[in-house]
Amino acid sequence: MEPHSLYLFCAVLALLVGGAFCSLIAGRAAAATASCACVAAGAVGLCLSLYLLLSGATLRVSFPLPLPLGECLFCVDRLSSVFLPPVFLLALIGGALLPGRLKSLAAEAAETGARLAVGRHCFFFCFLIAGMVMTLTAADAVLFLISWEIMSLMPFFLISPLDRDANERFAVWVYLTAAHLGVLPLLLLFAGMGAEAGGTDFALFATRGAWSHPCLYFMLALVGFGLKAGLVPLHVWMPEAHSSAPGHVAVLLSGAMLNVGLYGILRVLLLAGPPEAWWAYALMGAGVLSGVTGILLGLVQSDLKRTLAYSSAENMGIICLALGGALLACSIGSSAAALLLAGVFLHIWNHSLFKSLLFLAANAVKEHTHTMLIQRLGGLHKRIPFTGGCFALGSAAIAGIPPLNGFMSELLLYTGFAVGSKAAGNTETVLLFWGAFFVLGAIAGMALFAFTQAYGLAFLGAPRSAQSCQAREPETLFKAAMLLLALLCLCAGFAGPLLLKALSPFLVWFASGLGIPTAVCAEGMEAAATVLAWYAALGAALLALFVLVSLARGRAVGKNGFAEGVTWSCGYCRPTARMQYTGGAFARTFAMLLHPLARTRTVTPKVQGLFPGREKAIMTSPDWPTELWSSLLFRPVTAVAEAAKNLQTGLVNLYILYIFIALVAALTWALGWA
Amino acid sequence: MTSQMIVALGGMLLSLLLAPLLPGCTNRVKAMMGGRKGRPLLQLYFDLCRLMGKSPVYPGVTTYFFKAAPTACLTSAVAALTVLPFWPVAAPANFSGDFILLAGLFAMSRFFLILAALDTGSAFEGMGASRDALFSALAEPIFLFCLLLLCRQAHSLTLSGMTTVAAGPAAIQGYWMFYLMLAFALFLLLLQENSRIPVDDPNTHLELTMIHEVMILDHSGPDLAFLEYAAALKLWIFSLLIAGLVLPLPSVPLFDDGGSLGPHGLAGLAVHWGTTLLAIFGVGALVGLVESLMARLRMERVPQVLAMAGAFAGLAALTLWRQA
Repeated sequence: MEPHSLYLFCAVLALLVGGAFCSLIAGRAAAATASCACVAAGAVGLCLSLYLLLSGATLRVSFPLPLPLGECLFCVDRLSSVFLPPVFLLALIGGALLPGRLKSLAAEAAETGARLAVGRHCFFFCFLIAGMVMTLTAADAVLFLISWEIMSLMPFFLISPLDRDANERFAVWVYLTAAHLGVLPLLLLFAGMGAEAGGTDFALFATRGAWSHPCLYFMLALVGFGLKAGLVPLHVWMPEAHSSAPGHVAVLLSGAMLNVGLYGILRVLLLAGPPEAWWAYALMGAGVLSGVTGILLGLVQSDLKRTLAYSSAENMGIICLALGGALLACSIGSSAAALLLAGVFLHIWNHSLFKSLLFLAANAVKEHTHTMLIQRLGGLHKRIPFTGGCFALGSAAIAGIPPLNGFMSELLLYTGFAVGSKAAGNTETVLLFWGAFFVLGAIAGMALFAFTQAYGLAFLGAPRSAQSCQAREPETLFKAAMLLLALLCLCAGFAGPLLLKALSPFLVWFASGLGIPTAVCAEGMEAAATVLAWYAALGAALLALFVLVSLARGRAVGKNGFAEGVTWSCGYCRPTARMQYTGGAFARTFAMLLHPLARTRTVTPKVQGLFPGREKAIMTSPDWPTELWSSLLFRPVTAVAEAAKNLQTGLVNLYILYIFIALVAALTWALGWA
Repeated sequence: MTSQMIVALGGMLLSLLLAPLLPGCTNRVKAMMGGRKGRPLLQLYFDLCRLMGKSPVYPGVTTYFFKAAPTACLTSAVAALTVLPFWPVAAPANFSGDFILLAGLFAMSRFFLILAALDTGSAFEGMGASRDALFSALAEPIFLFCLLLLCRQAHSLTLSGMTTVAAGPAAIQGYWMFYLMLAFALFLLLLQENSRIPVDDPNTHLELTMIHEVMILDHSGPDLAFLEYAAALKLWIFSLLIAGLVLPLPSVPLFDDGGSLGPHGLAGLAVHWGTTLLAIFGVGALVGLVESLMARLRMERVPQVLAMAGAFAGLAALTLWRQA
């Protein structure tokens, strides 16, 4: 217990909460106040969480606040300190961008006549960050649920600050419904655990060896937290919410809040005692479904930000799959568990970095073009090379291109599955590891498809509409934020051994929590360190070779000179922008091939008569899990509710009839059974 | 630097020098099968020299990616040679999991090539990019899976370990079915990844039916030379991989205890290298044979070729099972 870190942690919370309330009353200075609070809290928190991660210290703070149940107890242990750095980093970035974003939102509001409540927006923004920090550090079940609610509720107010159109309103409502339903399993989970343990303190849960229903708790956690992490088919809120949210909010939602869902799953894994065999299967199954469906739905989207949101579902799926693999390896005592866990946590960090970079770049584009539809964009790289370059780097990282960071964590996961399959004795385990390896390869292939499509069609080629020509570079601060994230993506690929070293005490601790012997864990860590060292070295060599080859190419071109011409289109010398391939066409064959999962619909008009009028062919890729939920759950509930309305018509005679029936029933009961 | 390293680097240099000969070999076989005389074996060398001296033409809409793609493709192909062993010594870079990096390097060249094709804004190149992205996305997991199977069979997670064990007769004994099926699956993937018949016709003159060739339509001069050279290297890499699998040669101890070339070292090395080269050109000739005997398939049937590769990999896995 160290008093300095304790004060710093309290200071971070105080800054966020204080900043929230101050921005409510600050009037014109609201954005500046909130921004300062978030940046300060982010900077202090980042240093604090990294310090705690490296030192392995545990921080416990208890506030004497009268809660109805439980107590106000925060504990920053190793697991929290792994998840906190991305939250604080993105809080720093989001906070720094807040004034600029609000200014541009205000300008748009003035143009369209919409209302923008700056003070309230800042208030909710600060509380979103505070909620995430509290959720990650709460050490009491009741406090955890309160923090969770705060965190879950805030995006409802933040997603659509201008309330632009029906789509945004729909996104907000879908988000609210999903967040509410997601709390239900968590309430049940903690109520059950609390009742059994006789208290709500997490320390009490952790010391309890055997639970009576660990499987039930695990399932509840997987559903409740999986919804927040955006696992398919519980992801329905994510494409809507992430694509509607303004830049500074989308960054936090995609880069930090999804992680909190994963944190919940991992926390319950640690609390629920020794994992059972089928938990690994459940996690792997959820991961495969989420990974494959997520990226497939992502690659048929025509909206750039929706593609990004679906790819979050894919990445969360990859993480879940690897986590399941780690549990499986754990059960056979293989060192693959440590490799996979290292890959899981590195991938969580990497995903936060490249996904927030991509969302920032996409938002920079949307601000001036006012559209994210691929068929309206194109040629952006020529107009906004900085934003384009950042998006390209993010795409390369997420598509798993060496030497960037995305492939670094995936390399560990692949190696982990391979080691596991080599070590496994019985048939099912080998097949499961092979299957996981194969699926990871398939997901990586599809991710490459999705992101070359997203970048190539939206940013390269010729602009497809006037909107696309209006793209401009964002302000300097925004550029700096993108540059920071891009550099982190680039450096993380080379810093693999360092990152692993920083994570290794935590990994050993976490692995022992899952019941992996230290010697086995150390063996796995050594293998991971070797792989990452080679990756970093070969990455550097690759970069050097690239520079060398470019120099050779530059020399040859410089000697011969070059000319500029038009694109060769089969001899046609006047190609136009409308002749380019578009998103629908690019992904069409893929969508047809995997129709059961992509469900692309085409409505072709019937052309009739000799002189047919204008007709439209419409190709859509609806989110089929949403339709599934609505037909399985929401429509039946609505039907029952509609039918129940007939009970209350307002007719007095009917109410008298109810009273009469109730009296008769009561009489019968009293006479017959009493 | 140990002599083992020198031999490994020598193998790499040999690959870099001889790769452009492989398409020539394929072409010669095709010409012979068609009763023609065919172009010179060294045609690609001449082409590369000629192209290096030409000045390129850049379409006006293109950006940095159009120019970076040839460099990236060549870089990734050369980098791939560092993890791929030139039999019988280990590759210059070998570590557990290097076979995944090989797939990653292919992904890198594909990423840049697709972006370069989309950069031109041409409908034809977009079409080619879409096809290439789709077929490679389907082929990638199968390729990785083939290597994973080798991993289990050879009890090694490095490419060098996989292929050197495969080369020894003791390892192959009883597993010849496994290696044969795996080599066949990899051969199908070679045809796809290198855009050969029946997946793609390198000699077609109709842009609508092309995959790889249509993606590089707008590249010219040194850029085209780089792309052609990178393509030849990729074909070489796949052939080398298959050759490393099916060569049933005994491994002669080349090095003595001190790590330097042993008494029979040089002669042994010559025999090994000669056989490996023969096997590589054998694969190249086989490609030519397939191209002479088959027509290009319709695009919608290409996934079936890949499914067949996957099925053969699965069958290979099954044979592994019976023996395990």
